[in-house]
Amino acid sequence: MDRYDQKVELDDFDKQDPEYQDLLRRILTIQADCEIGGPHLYVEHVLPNAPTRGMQAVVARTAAEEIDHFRKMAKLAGDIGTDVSHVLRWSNDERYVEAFRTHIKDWEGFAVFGFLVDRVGKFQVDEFMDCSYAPLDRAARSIEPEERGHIDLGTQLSADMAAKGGAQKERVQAAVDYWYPRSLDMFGMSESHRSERFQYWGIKQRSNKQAREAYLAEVNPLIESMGMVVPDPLKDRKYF
Amino acid sequence: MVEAAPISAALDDYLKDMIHAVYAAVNVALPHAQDEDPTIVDNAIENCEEILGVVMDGKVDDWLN
Repeated sequence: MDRYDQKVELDDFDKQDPEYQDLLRRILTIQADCEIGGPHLYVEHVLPNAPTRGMQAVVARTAAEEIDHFRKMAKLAGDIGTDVSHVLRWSNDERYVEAFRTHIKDWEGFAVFGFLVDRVGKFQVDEFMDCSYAPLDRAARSIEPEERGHIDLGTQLSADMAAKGGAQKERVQAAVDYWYPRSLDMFGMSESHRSERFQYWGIKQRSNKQAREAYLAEVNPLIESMGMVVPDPLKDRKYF
Repeated sequence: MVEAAPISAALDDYLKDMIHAVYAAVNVALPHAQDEDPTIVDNAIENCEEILGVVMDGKVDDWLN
């Protein structure tokens, strides 16, 4: 596939093809929404009820980091004339991405959200590294280490709870069963014209299908290594 | 060159302040997480909840006026 091989700085944004401009505005708006969507899922119920005071502080720090990721995406969007502040005012059921249209009310849900959904977030951020829009490339590189930290925390918490067995393990498995299909859906339709155009313009490196397959190859062995059952990848799915 | 969204810079500054305030509270809380007297950590977590609550409320117009 032919790829746009330019490295675009802010000064040159308005000289770009209208399709490039539209796609970049779109992806920054959705990414900003996903970044602020995370804290909206867990701050209300999980922060006050985390199992220890130390974990309460960790939840607060995680939320602050995600808000900072929102800030960076909002700044990039704002610099090209796109105001994304409307997503700050949105309730959860208005989110662009369906996975964020809910609330997390328990510790297992928070852990598995980090394990599975933040991992999708990192896949998305990885797509932007080396992308054609240089400011987004730089922002992605600054966000990636924190996203990795959220994944590591969620993965470790999930593994620890699964290792306890019994009812605790059943609750983690239930959270995996809930978030697994939603995580897979976050990659979008495998056959997507827009996905191809993102690749063409060098804004993303992989197709939706390629990214989802890479995610499955990474996450399924992890679920198995925790002694849990990998859910049916076709069950409860909306986007294939 | 494309013109920036009107509230972009002010929103960025506001959020930076809020984020730094949460980090500061977390940095107070974590070293005291195991204290027998939970006053310090509880106060710090309460601060976190209050600051994050403001961001979650999303009253952008109030923030910037």
